[in-house]
Amino acid sequence: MEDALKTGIYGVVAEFDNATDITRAARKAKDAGYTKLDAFSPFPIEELSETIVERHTRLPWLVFAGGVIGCIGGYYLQYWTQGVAYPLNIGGRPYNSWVSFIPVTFECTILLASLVAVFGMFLLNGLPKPYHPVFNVPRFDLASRNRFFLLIEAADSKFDRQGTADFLRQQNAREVVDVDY
Amino acid sequence: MRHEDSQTPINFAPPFAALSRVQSIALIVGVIGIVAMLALSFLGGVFGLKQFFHAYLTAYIFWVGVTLGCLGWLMLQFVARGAWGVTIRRVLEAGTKTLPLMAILFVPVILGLHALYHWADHDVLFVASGEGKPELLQLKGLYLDAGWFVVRFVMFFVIWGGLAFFINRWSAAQDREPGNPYYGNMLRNISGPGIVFFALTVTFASVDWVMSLDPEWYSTIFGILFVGGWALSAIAFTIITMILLSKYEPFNRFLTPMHFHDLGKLLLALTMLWAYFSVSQLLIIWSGNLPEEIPWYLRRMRGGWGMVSILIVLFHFAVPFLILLSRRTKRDTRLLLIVTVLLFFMRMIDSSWLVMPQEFVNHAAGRPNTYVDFSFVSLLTALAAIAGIGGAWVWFYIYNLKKMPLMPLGDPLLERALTHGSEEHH
Repeated sequence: MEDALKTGIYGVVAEFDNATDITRAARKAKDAGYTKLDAFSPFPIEELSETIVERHTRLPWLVFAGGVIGCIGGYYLQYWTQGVAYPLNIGGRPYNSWVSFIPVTFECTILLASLVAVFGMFLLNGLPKPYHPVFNVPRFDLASRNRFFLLIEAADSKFDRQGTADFLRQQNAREVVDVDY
Repeated sequence: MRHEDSQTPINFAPPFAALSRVQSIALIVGVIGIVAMLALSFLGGVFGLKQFFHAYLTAYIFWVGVTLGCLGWLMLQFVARGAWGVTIRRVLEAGTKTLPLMAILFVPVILGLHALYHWADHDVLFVASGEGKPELLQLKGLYLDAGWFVVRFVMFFVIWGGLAFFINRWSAAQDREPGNPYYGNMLRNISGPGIVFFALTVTFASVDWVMSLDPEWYSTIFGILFVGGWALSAIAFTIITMILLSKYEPFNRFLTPMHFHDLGKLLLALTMLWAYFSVSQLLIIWSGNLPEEIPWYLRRMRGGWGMVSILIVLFHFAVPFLILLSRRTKRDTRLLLIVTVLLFFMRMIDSSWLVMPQEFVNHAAGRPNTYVDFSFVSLLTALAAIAGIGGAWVWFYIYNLKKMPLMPLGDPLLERALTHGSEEHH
């Protein structure tokens, strides 16, 4: 029974009254070594998201790679069609008329980089998410009104059902509850 | 970089001792540059007087570009009303105060008119061009006339000088009366229309001074290419100044990586803008492939100048672009300084690339399609001339920088500029 409960929940969530408390709690949790945190608030709190969110996302590198592939692909498309497959003499210019190829190369770079930016973002942040266990918390709808919620996931290596809940209670939380699947 | 003792008030006076040291260095570099330029032109050069004047013009358009770029940025930041502008305002203002020096330094260009511009010899326009284009050149002759050239030069400097004079005057007055909104309003009111006049005059100046080196050639994007290029020179120079000054009070008291991040973004944007305009010009001329236009590029795509072109593509665009993409570069003053100095140096190479290849054509007057090989000595002469004029320019610039507090103390955005970036926890 005890074991089933330990593994059977998604995590614990703490409810806070104000932005200062949740920000302090989030920083304490980070300092204590928790990594799988999430926070929900009625309005954006810059300090809080800087504490919670991993700043060094891989997305810029993916976008860069997309841009490079678009650049090379765009140029090669023109080079192959104009220079190899169907060489055309246009006004005496070289078949590999690289200056004329710049606009399309540039556009392909931007196109692929932006496609990777949009779809890479969805891939990395897991959106859209039609179901999330945190909505099972009865009072969670207050997160869009006047309450602040800090979630620590059971998947966290430091997670301990009793210990984590106690830890959160010490941070001036109004209430700490389990999040069922 | 930031001192922790916020108790003592910040001293906004410039660091005089350090600035005076740079002034002495500038004078020494300037003298060496002028001697080297004379020696290279008349002892080691191929074209003597022509080489001297082409190198001089290269240096002139490079440094007048820094001056005017500062004027353009200054007006832009007044209109944009950003805290980033407040931080660099005094540095830009000192740049615009070098205008009187640049007006005097134009005299040698007028003296060398015949060595530089072969439209100055009327025969060339009306007689010598026997290859089916005399009509075009005759029409251009109405514009390309020595008298009009000087009149236009005076008009440019009256407009630029007027803008710089009133901006600096009102800016100083705003320091004395911090609460008075009058000066802030006047500064914005002159800057809006000023930007329009600025773009027009720079366009005409670029046509007069550089495009007409080859009287048959024309490019309609040339003016805006200069606006972008000169803005890049000026922002690069400003970043170098800011990084060097950031070791001293007042800047060591409040500058954060955020301030340099902002400036780095502008540097990246201008690098891209310059590349965009340059490619547009090449694309238009490449697609048109007209006999009046294409020789200008053919001259620069072959032999030695072709190698310089590749260097420009790599180090004026590709390398700085890729490095500046990273957020870390823009926030790390050491890395940013390296990239900015590289770009500033490439601006010099680009100015040489625009002017110096014409000396061969002008030398072979009447045979404008003759390609003579690149001479490395010419490029060195141009760089020596840039060092020569640069010595005087930097000396006078610092002389002006020392006269005012390093931050506009009467600006309503001052507080925001001082606390910019302090809300960060990194």
